[in-house]
Amino acid sequence: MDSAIKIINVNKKYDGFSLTNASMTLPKGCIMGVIGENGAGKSTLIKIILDLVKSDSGEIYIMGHDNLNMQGSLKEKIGVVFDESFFPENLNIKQIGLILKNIYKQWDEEEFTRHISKFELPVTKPVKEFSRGMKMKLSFAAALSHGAELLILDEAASGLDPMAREGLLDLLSDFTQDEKKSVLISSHIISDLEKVCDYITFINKGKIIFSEEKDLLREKYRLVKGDESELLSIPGDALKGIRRGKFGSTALVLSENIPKNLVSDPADIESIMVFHSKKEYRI
Amino acid sequence: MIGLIIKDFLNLKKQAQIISIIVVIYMMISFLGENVSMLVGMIMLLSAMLPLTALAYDERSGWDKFALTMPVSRREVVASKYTFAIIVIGVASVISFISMMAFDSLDISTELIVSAFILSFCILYISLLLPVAFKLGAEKARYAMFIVAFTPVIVVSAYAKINPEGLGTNFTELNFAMIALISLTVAVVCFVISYMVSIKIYKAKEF
Repeated sequence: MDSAIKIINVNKKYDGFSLTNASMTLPKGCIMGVIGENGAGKSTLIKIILDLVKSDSGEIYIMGHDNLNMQGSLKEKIGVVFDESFFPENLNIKQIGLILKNIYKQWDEEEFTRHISKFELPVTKPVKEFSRGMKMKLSFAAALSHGAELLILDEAASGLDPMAREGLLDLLSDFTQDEKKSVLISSHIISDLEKVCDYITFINKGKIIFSEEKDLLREKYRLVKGDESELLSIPGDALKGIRRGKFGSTALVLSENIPKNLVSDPADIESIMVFHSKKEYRI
Repeated sequence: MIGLIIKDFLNLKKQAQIISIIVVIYMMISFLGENVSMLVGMIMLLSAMLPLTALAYDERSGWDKFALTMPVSRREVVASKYTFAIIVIGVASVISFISMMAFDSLDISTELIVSAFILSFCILYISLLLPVAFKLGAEKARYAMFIVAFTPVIVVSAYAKINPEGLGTNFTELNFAMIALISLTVAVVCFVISYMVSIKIYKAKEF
């Protein structure tokens, strides 16, 4: 399968933080959610993908091309939305449209106007008078109006109210109906990602803990409840973590290794993530 | 790249209006006083400051981080600022020259020589400041701006103090037109070098 983004062994060391051996693949036509706490390395990874920050080692391919010194024609196909808008504050949408028209060869003015009116954004008001949500909507309108085949969204949904977030998620699902089109979206709001993503990459303290298909993940793990002694009898490799509660403990266990005598429930992505990040819960 | 230059012009629309008002006021003063040097100095200094202001705006909105995700290379971002500087200084030079012709009583060749001097000063000025601004940010480059602006004054007055006759004799012996031409050439060479340095600085930048 063709990949929209392929990351191989990327490393980046900062003072007090390092991204280590990051590898993942986003197949074309899919939505990948990158989940992790604030400061886990999501934004760093995205900045490295976009060549805004140089990695120390490793390779990244975007639609088959090396991400260093990307050609204009490749960048035309990428739409990016960050956690805030970076449009000049004094300008209005009309002026911003004029600028973007002269930057993107594939700029689709009609499409842009359509998005702007759908989002009900004022055309002649300067951007500095916009609310955070309005600014984000403007960024989305821009990202969707030049025939992008890959959307890269860095915490882009976080600034939106629940209604607008819902709208955005629908929009992403529609976008990937075309199997050439893919989305990479990072967020710390798991429920958002669980709804729309085909793939989930979980990143914690600069390490990718897992990067897998969402449905496979759900099949792979189950939650088992019981006495701590019972849970500890599960073989070490299969037991991914234990959480102790007042009324018994819960463990995340590989589905295939669950002892017959124990009752298990399906695991949601949030639990899978929490158990993986809190490994110290285990004895 | 055209989009980037359009962005700078749109961004600086307000500044341009203010500058126009200042220029008109100085034009009236020049007309009454029959001395155009203040006006020309003002026009050129204000125009040379504009590229720096454009950079400051970009910094404030975080534009570069976003711009580099568009079909714009790092080289083009730098090139757009230098092109913007050429356009602004070019326009300012034409306005200056026309005002000199209109308000001053000197002959055309002298006006041309004086214009060439002022123009070279402006080019040198912007050549020094742009790499500083790309490296340290527009805010810090503003401090450098004052140092750069006053250095020639200090150097010349210091030289005059040490060697009171030197200044006069040195200059009258040489052909003024020749010096103007040389200074313009030096300025253009500096501008090109400055452009290359800025590209190197900007390519290493992380956002």
